[in-house]
Amino acid sequence: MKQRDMASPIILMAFSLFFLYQTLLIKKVGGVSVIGSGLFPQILLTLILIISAANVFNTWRAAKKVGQVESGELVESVGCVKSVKILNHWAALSTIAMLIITVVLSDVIGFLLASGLFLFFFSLYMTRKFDVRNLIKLAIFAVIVSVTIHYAFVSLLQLTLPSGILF
Amino acid sequence: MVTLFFTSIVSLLSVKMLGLMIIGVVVGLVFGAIPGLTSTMAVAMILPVTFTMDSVTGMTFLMALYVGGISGGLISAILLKIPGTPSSIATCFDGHPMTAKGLAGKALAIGIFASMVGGIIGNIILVFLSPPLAKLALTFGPFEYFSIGIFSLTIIASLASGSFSKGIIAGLMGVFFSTFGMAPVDGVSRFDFGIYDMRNGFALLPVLLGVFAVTDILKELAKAHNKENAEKTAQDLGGYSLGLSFFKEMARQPMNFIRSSLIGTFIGILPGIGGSTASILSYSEARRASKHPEKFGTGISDGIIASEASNNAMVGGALVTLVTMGIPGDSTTAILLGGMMIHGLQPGPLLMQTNPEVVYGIFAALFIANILFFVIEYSGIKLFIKVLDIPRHFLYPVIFVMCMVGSYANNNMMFDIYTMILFGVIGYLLDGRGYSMACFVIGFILGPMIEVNLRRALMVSHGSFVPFVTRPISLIFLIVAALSLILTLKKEFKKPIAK
Repeated sequence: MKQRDMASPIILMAFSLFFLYQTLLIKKVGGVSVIGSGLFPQILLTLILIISAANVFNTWRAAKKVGQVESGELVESVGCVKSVKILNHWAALSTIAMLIITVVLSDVIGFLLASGLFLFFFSLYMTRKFDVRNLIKLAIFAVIVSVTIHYAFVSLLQLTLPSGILF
Repeated sequence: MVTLFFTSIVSLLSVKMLGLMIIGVVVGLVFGAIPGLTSTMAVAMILPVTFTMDSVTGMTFLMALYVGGISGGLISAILLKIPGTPSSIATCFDGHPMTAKGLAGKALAIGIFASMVGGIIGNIILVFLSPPLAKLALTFGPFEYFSIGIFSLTIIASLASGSFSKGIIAGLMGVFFSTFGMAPVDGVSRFDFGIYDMRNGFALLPVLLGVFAVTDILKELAKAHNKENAEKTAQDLGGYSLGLSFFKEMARQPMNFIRSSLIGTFIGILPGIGGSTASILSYSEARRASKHPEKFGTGISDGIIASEASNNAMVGGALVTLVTMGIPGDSTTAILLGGMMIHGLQPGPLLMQTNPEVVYGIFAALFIANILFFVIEYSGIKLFIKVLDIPRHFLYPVIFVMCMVGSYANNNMMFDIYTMILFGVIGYLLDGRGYSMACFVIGFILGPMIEVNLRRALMVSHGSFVPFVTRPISLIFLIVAALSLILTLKKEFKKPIAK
């Protein structure tokens, strides 16, 4: 373990403490149930708190021995296989921002237009080619996919999609 | 019994019935493969179409839809690491790593074959053991359900063996997030922060889509500037032929097929547990019983077989209680129950005596549907793999839009799309620090079952924990859970410290 690994258990400890406080605000209803609705989450949060505290202690002890700090790593876990890769968090942040803007826009201009804009700008963000040919290609892609999805779900499957002022 | 079953199979082998079943299986597969669309939705939407049909034809069509819907989930689970249906959740664990190795065709073939075998074993159990199994399941109370939940939760300990404490924390976090919203039993709202939509808590589907699809794409994008990551993995298209080597590989694990199918059938019989638990429990048991448990999660056939055999066998199990007791085992069978009633049938112990042709018609339809989906899905493998050839800048935005549609279609709530994004971010942050998302999801799925049955049990026993250890079935599950946990801990502490 490395010093940097201390951040996540400390954040989890803060998370547990915050929600443990929130469990105290849960309404208590007498009579129906033997245990209150707050007890189960309290048990879970206490366990998270204890294990995270143990992780902080172990990390601190290990870091004291090694005295080494590394940064910018992703430990990717699938079962017990791990690999380390360099990360560009900005790409993830931009994607999340685009997703949120799309959802907010869906309420205003409808899902058909909002998803079309998302498809265009997100694929443009991924290709990063601003020549006219690529822009036309991506615009056609965005229109075809958004219209197809809208038609398939709304007209064929009779499902509802978020509608805005326009659609 | 056997004669009636075979007579029913023969009566279904007409062009009209087979044509109808092929349509049902194909529609079901499409619903199963698209995240957000489920077999429940397929059966619910097509149910009115069956009103004009006679009861046997209508139920046959619905059975084909049900089987297709459950089986379609493995396609997106293996190719895109997005469980098409929640019951394919454990298929992602080994299916997608196989795709990453260029073995998508083989993974799909194994999944499809395992689904068919599981489905047929569940079908056989349905035909021969329906009444006694249903009676046994009816003796289960909240104590037993709680113990089964705890037993299933111990898979976290074995899945988390890479980073034990982080896996346990991820599992606990999953259980904790399942407690948001209205509490079971007394309906008290928890952690809603004044947001009205939070009172319903986080729905399973948006959480699954967030944790698997959104997290994975965010991770891919975050490392996309690494040249080696931008390259696509070449897929071995020869790996899926049903040759001698394929069957040899399958024949090496008969116990995995049988054990997973039995678990799936039994979980199906227990009302309200569902295919996701069956899939996780079978995966866990396959890992526990394996001679090479460390290979699970790296892309081996054992994991796919366990998950897929169990979720298709679950269909047979869910029909056991529906047909013999009139109790639906899951949401799809609840709609089927409604369908049967509309067709003038009253599921229950008397149905086998009053309408044997319908009961055995359902059993036969399930059998034929299992073979049909195998043929249809297997023929489509090459087509499915083409999805992986789509350039990432086209594929990722389409996946995101489909996930948004799937999340929204779940309850027609914008809140569910925000939930998907939130859990995508949580997944990205936790996974990035080595917290296993598989453990998180397992906790999230099992959490409600554990809490609701704990509270119900304590109400029944007036606050006493004693019945958990005095009721034999509950005690057995708790002992096995404790043993499994102790063994994993022992293994964990025996490991040499790497650094």
